[in-house]
Amino acid sequence: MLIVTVMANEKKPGVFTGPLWTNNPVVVQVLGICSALAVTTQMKPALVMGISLTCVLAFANVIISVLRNTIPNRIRIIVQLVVVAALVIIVNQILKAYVYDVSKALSVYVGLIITNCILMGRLEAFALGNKPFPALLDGLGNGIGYALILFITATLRELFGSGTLFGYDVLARFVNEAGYDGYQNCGFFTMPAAALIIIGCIIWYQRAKNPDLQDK
Amino acid sequence: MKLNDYINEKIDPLFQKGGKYEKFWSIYDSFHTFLFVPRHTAARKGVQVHDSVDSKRVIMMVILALMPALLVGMWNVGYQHDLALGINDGWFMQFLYGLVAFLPKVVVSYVVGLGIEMTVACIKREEVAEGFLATGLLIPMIVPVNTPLWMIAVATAFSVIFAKEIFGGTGMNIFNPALITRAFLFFAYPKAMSGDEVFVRTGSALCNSPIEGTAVVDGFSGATPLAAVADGTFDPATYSTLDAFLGCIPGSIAETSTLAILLGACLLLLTRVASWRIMLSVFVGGAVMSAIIAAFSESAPTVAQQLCLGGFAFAAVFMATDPVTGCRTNTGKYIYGLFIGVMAILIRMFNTGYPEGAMMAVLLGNACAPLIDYCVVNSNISKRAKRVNA
Amino acid sequence: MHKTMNRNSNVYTVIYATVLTVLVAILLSAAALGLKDKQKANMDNEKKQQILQSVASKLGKTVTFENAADLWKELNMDDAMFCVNTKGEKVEGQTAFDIASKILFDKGKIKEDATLPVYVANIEGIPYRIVSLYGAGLWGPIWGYLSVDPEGKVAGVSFDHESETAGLGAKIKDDPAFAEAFIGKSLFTDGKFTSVSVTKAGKPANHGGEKVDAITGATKTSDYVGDMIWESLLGYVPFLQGATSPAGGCKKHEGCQKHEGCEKHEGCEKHEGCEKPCDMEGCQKEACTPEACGKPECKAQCGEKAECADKAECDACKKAE
Repeated sequence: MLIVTVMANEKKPGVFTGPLWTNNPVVVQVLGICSALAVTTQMKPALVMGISLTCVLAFANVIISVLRNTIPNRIRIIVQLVVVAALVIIVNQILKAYVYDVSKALSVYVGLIITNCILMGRLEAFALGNKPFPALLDGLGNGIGYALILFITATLRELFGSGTLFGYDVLARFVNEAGYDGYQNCGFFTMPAAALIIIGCIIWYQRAKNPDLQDK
Repeated sequence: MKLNDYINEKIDPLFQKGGKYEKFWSIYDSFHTFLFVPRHTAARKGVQVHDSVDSKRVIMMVILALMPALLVGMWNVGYQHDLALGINDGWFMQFLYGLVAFLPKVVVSYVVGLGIEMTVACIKREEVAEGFLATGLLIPMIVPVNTPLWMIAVATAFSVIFAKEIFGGTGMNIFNPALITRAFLFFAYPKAMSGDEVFVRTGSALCNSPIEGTAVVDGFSGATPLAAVADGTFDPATYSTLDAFLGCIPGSIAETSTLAILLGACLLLLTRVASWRIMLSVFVGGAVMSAIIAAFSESAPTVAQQLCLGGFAFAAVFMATDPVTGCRTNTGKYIYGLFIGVMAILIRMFNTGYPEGAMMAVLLGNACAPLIDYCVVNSNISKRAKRVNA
Repeated sequence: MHKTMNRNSNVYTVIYATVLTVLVAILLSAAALGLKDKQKANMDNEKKQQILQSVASKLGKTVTFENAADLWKELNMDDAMFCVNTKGEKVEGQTAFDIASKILFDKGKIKEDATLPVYVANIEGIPYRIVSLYGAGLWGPIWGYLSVDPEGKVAGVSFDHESETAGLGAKIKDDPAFAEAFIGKSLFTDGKFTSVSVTKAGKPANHGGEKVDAITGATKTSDYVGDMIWESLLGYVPFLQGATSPAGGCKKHEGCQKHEGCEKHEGCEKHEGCEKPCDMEGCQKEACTPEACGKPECKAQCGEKAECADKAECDACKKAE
């Protein structure tokens, strides 16, 4: 409710809610696909990646937005990169210190947040031209929108690919308890190609529901 | 009242626009055209060449051509079963065993595949396309005999939806749906697609449950020769090429007998259903590549063995020649065929993770086919342009 | 104010960039320093887990990331590790735990001058030597630890990998049955190093000796595991043989436990070829029976020893000599 009121005040409807679905960074803007394919084999890394990116994006958006009137135009991309890179390195260090197994699973992909198109896209397109608070909402919205798609993809991939959810044995046990012991997990879902197909299906579903998004 | 009239007058209107079962017109129509002459062979206006050979009949020809390989393959399933258990109950019982092992697979593949095709056709209000008639038979023929039925169902559904329907259905697909089914199985359930135990059924014919009082003979290995090649344990000198040619080796149902495949190839070529350019160039490409490899390595199979082993011949005759996914230009067909032949042997010999190179090679060829055609057409255009300008 | 803030001037740009860089550098150094200990502890913990995993069956419990550090302390592992060179001699001055197995290899072969880490886990009085393995897998590096009991038999293994196929090659780590198959296999045949091979079911071992069946559908990765064990252990062989071989060796204390009477180092060296349990004082008692006395080797032994159990027998020996 708070967010809705605030948005009404700012007269920027959809800054937060838009990126969640109708203007989702992954399935509509088609940004950040690389990491969406790479970290979605298991739910835990996907969730952590989503949270990490949301944090980095929100902070970076706010910082750039605060600095927006001081940043020299000629080096603005470099400044954005430095801010993002610093944030990413800090996130990476924290993951290594507190959730070691996840940081191992994410390996290079946390570092690759720096090059995630969503970040540079939002900084350049939104944070540089807006006040800190809308920038924060935009960062959170896009980050959560990204995390949402990652989470859906990872749920399907882990459930069918490994038969588990968050590492807990679900599918194989369920099938086996039902008295059928020939079940095998579908290794295809652990491959990046499966993520592409799942995201493709999400896009398919979304376009079917939203005629606005369909190509004319 | 004659049956024909009865159908036309009484049953047809039920499914026509405004009829009781209007929604199911696609399904009804597909059975009608399958059993009778197509309703309209030509549009009402314009000049057309008439031919009663529509794609349903072309596909019937493919299915006929598959028969020799299928029959020998079914016998071989029983033969390998007997070998494994050290018994011999005659060729007829062996054939019967293979038939019983094969039938459930073909039923599953048709029910799932056609079910999805008909549903989609009903939703889109289109005719049911006939492409799946051949695909549905090919699928159970190119998977190991011990593949569980539910896997075939999942893989068939995957390939019909993601390799065919999302591209627009029969005739629009980029990749060969039967091979996509196999590729999906290969990557999704690698355990069920490779190893010593999947190609030979040692249990009962229907569901492979162990038979009381039988045991696998000591020293019997159900590994395919290609698995031995990948292992590095293959010895070309002691291996019987004749067995591979006739089809008495472990393998998927359709791929074992090169002789039967060649019989099918004759039918396809005589009726001009398949392109001889593709077929020939695949074999040439494969032979050249295997000759090069055999010249450098003593443990590599000889040229004849390479062409007889695994799914190479089957892929060359039935998969590469698929007119939808292959090249359309004549020059393109040669390039396409050579590419598949060379790649099949290369993958087989140098990527030990994938002993069956033919499947990968044809899929790769499918992906390249439009590019090859594009280059051929463009070079032709520029050649002609030069001639005009000269 | 606005006059001094010309955002497009060179001076402003350079100063801005400098200040930003310095600020970020300070921030990052602070974060790195503050979290360093915790990160190191995590990495060490993972290594400890893998090392202890190789004796998990002897410990009788599973080793997890969480309990690895406690177990490590419980077994007093920090004091029970040392380094050896490829000749089997102890090397001082290096901490075994800090040696990365990767650097010990050159093109898949163990380096001549490598310093190899050894960890000893004393469980119920029996010392298990844990050695480190490293090699190439099908898609990336594979590594692990292998524990050897005093008789030269494998007491357990733990493998890990970077990128083997999930569900197939990855089973070297995920399938406990594969690791269990190694337990009890002897690394030596008649005092010769024969390793434990990994080959397809029904196929013989690569180097003679014992074997473990390859994982179905992952023959290649399994092959590489066998190669890794062979190549990695080659460097350890002099050390392991000196320490474990029951006959011939006896130069070190630990390996002698099965030998009654072999409490003293010095005495052990004299026991070459002595297969029967014997005791220091009355040595030759059992070997020097009248029947055995006729044999040349017994003559030699009897000649050196002043007193035999039975004087008459010994005299007979001397006479024969």
